[in-house]
Amino acid sequence: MNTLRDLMTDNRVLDLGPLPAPRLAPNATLHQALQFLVRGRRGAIVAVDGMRPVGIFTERDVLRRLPAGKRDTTPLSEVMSKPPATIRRKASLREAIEAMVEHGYRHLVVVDRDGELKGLLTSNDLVQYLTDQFPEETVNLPPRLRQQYLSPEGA
Amino acid sequence: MRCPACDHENIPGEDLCADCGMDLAGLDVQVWGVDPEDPLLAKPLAELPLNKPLTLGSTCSVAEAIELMRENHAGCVFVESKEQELVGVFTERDVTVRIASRGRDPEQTRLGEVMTSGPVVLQRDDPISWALHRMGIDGYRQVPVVDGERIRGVLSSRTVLQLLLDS
Repeated sequence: MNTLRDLMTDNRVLDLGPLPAPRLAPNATLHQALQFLVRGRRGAIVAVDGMRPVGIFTERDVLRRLPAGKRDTTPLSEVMSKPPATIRRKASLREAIEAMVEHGYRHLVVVDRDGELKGLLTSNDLVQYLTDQFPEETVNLPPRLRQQYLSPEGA
Repeated sequence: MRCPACDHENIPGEDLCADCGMDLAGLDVQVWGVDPEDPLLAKPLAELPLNKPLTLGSTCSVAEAIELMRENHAGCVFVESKEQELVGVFTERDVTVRIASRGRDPEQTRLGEVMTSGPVVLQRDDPISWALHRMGIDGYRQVPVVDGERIRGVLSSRTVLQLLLDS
């Protein structure tokens, strides 16, 4: 039986399967970026030049910068964070978690050896992957552990 | 599959060692999944460093909520009734989906119009395994931890990840 610690060390980012990365060119408009954020459901979009990530635009960026009266035609390159925080596909989950916790990031852009975009890793992907490894007994526990059944099972 | 008695290298899945006849059944079966007995998973949420919840009333404006989230580096505000009961939540994602992408004016929009009513909650005595499970399934980054109807703290995915690192 594994512990969560083993899982974090033994599994790599690429073991998580496909990690969709909604992407746009840096000259896309803020309007397009917002639509992508809404539809992409990943909490962030990656600005790319070809296959190379050059920036990231997250829901946090919207919260931080938007109501300051930016117009819908503002280019993405003016509102995105750059350069984006990246992680190699072959990094362990522990390395990914450390990078997120240390800097407070909830998104890491996944790249291959050549620095080309391979996906977008979110903190939820990590939580979800780790909890997917729980055996059924754990997830089927009643939320109230001290809950008493009124009659014996099967009675 | 190496025989623990004589070190003979057997074909994987073999029931008996081909060399010494030792019973090998079940020895190479890897048990799948996380150990449910892990003491970390059984800890109640009350023992974790929960974040302080930000709360506002439903008649406050979205602009106030955004300001509060910015100042406190928080991802959501909770909406309380006059009796201080938790009635809703307004998140960073809601700012994008319900305000910015629709061009709504945060000054003119009341929290009650755009919040999500009846948020999923965790109880203070729930075990961490349950919290992880809910967060994994629902995909929430922050979940309020309540005691009865009143909010006592917020469990964030960052706290959860930090906990895993420290374990």
